[in-house]
Amino acid sequence: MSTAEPLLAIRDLRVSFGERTQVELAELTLGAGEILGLAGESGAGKSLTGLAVLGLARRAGATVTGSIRLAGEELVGAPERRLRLLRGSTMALIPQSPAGAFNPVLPVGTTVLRALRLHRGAGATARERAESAMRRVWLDPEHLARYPHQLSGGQLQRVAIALGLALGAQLLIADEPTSALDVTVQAEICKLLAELRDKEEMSVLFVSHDLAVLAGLCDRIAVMRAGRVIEARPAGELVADPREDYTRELLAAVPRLGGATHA
Amino acid sequence: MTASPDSPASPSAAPARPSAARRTLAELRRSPAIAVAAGLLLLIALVALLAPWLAPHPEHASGATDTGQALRPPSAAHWFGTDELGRDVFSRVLYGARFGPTIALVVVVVSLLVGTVVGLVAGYFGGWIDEILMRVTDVFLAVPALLLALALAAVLPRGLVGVTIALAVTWWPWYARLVRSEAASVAGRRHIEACRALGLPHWRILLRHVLPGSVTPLLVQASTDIGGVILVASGLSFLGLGAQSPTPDWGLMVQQSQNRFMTEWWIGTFPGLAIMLVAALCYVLGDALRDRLDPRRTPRL
Amino acid sequence: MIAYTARRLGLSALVALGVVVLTFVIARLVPGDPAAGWAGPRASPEERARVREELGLDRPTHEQIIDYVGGVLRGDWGISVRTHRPVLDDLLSLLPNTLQLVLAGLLIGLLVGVPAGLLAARWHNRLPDVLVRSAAIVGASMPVFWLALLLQTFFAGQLRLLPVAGSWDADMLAQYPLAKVTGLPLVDALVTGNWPMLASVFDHLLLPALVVSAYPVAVIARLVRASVLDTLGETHIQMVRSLGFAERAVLGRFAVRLSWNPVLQLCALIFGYSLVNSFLVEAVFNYPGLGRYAANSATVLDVPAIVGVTLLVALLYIAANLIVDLVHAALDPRIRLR
Repeated sequence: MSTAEPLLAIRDLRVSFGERTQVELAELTLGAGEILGLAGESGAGKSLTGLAVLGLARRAGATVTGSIRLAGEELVGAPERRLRLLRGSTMALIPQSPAGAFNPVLPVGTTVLRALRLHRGAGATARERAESAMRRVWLDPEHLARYPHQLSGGQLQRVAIALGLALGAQLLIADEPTSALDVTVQAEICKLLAELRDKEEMSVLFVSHDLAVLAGLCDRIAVMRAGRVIEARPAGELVADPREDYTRELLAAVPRLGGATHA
Repeated sequence: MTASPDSPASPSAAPARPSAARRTLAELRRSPAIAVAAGLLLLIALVALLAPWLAPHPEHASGATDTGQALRPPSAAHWFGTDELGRDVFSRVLYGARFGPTIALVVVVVSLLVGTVVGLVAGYFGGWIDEILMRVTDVFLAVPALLLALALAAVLPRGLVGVTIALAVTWWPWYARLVRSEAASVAGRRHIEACRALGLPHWRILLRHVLPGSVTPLLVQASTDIGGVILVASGLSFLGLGAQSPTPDWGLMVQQSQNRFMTEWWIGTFPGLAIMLVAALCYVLGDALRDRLDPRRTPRL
Repeated sequence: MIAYTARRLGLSALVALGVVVLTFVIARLVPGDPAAGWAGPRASPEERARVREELGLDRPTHEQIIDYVGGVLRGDWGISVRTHRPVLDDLLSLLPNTLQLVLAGLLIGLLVGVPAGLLAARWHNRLPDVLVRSAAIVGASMPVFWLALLLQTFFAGQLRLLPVAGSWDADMLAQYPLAKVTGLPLVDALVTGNWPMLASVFDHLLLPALVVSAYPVAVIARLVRASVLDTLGETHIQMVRSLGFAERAVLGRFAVRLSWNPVLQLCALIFGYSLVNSFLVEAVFNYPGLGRYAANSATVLDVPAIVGVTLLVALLYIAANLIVDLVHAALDPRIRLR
């Protein structure tokens, strides 16, 4: 991951609600084909960082300053029209609770097809793209016709990933994507993300409070506390020899470290 | 906070009533929409009370006529003009505040009482009592409000009392259903079961622990409903089934102006405007109360 | 789905039966001796006794109720005191006009109310929202008969754009007779290609329908606004936004889908409300429908007619609720596919 310009480069990012600053990131980068873990307790500003990258923090009422560069393009202050184009086609969100992530009265495929038509125009290829994306996440394309309540959490999460794949996204922003799933499904999603990284050079910003999950999957991990990154190092190094007390505390809070990390 | 002597052992999270009431008041002060709507409604109530002193021609509200002054358009002497009998429309509109709004208030209060009792009993005791009471309310709710009121008002003796009874019979099931769902959701909670286990009389559990949960939605619904009842009552008056001449009821005034509406617009326009104003204020108040106190509920109107 | 339908049908039948009994009670509320009213003021005591026996008033109440329910089921809804015709015949001949008026009002309500609600949600707390909300309050708080008079005075009286009253041109009907297909004059004129009558019926319907639509427009706009705003915080909306959809598409293509069911259920409520609201409108526009019939019957205390109207409208309302619930179940995959 030592290209001249990383896929995602965050510099001096500050996200605040009125007087209260929630996120203050000096530097954070993510290369192509890399999975970066963002660890920390809830309220540490991890999810908000993800929203800021997607350009959705502003509509939640936050003020965003600094710089977020995606494939060389500045996102902070970019016109909404441009951001909309990038959202979906270049970066996609993997939501926290797969159960609520799809419109309950539409078949999941409808959302996929509508998004494809939005970004890639009308055409018969939309359905093909959707079906091939489904296969890439190990799902039967038949599932596109199902309603959300007919699919399991793990299946829905894979449809969400397929959505990003179908649209050709290079960056997945995964906001606690596994915390609502049980352990076996969790492992499966992690395995899928690892495969996508290895085979398709997919980059993932993986937000989680669970260091065990991150340690097993990520190339690097950044630990956030009160809006700042206090430690950002290769995953193995960080787990083996944490420098900060806080990281140590987070590690200690993981009961099954070592057991579940071999995803 | 509130260790009332008769809630023994105060099972876990019993609702703290006095502080809830105080909080409600504080909330009210913070919402200008509530203050404005409630203030204007109070003003209208005041107008109703003081009509004899405010109206330039109080005698025109009770049958007196002045045919020499018939059909004058609005002027300095008659702000809202005069009708075909020379009566001052402004005076009559002021007096009108004594009829429609009062009927609505009485109807809502009576329906609230009846509906609350039925709803509490049904929701709290459940079982076959609930089943019977709710099927009865279903039957009443299956007839649109204005229609049921119309049918009842038609067969009851003409006049204000008949209309009031007809409307109250029409309106109570709404509250019964509302209170029942609230009561049923509370009835299974642990602190209610604890109260039962302690052998408290049912009526005391109902009043102290079940009813308070329904107060906020009831308050919101009632304030909106006063507007709705005014509209329905004026409709009945318009059909000749409510107040009888020469009562200066707004709906009746519009009806009596019907044949002259195209030429002497003022006779019917102002009473109609008065109905709309009161109804709109009630809706605004209900909306604002809902936003402030009960934001999750979507409006029924 | 079948079990649901069966249960819903049974419940509706039970409620309908309850309404029949309710109308029986209403009919008995009339002060004084019903037999005296029937036999006329100058009837002798013997005549009254005979009438009482004829009407079955001398028998126990529960037998009378069973008789009454049986009569209603057989289509014997009594004879109108005013028109001296069977009540059911009177009602069925007037129903299409009223139905046409109510459905037209509901259609306008949907066509205007849904976009208005979306607009308000899109610009939440901004000018469009404030305007839509204010208009909705005004629309819902206007006495419908007064609005009817205002529009009648303005469009028919002042501007002379539209006819003042009635349901069509009588002269025109003689020249272009209206074939009966569905019973709804507007639809019949349309499907038989009777263009002059279509224009006449449409002209006469427009103003009353606009008046009837004031309430549907107001409540539908409010409901759509509220339910769309409600869904905006949900994950799937966030998800759709993260896919790059513009806010208009987020609301108009995704969020609004969740309003369909509440709006549908509201339609049943509006249908009932408008049916009766149309009574007041018909009175103003002298439009021959159930409402004018009910108003005229009420003023002369024509009890069989009043009870008949109540029964018919209540049954229509129950049917509307039933249909809406079944459509709702069919539309919502969470119920349909259970």
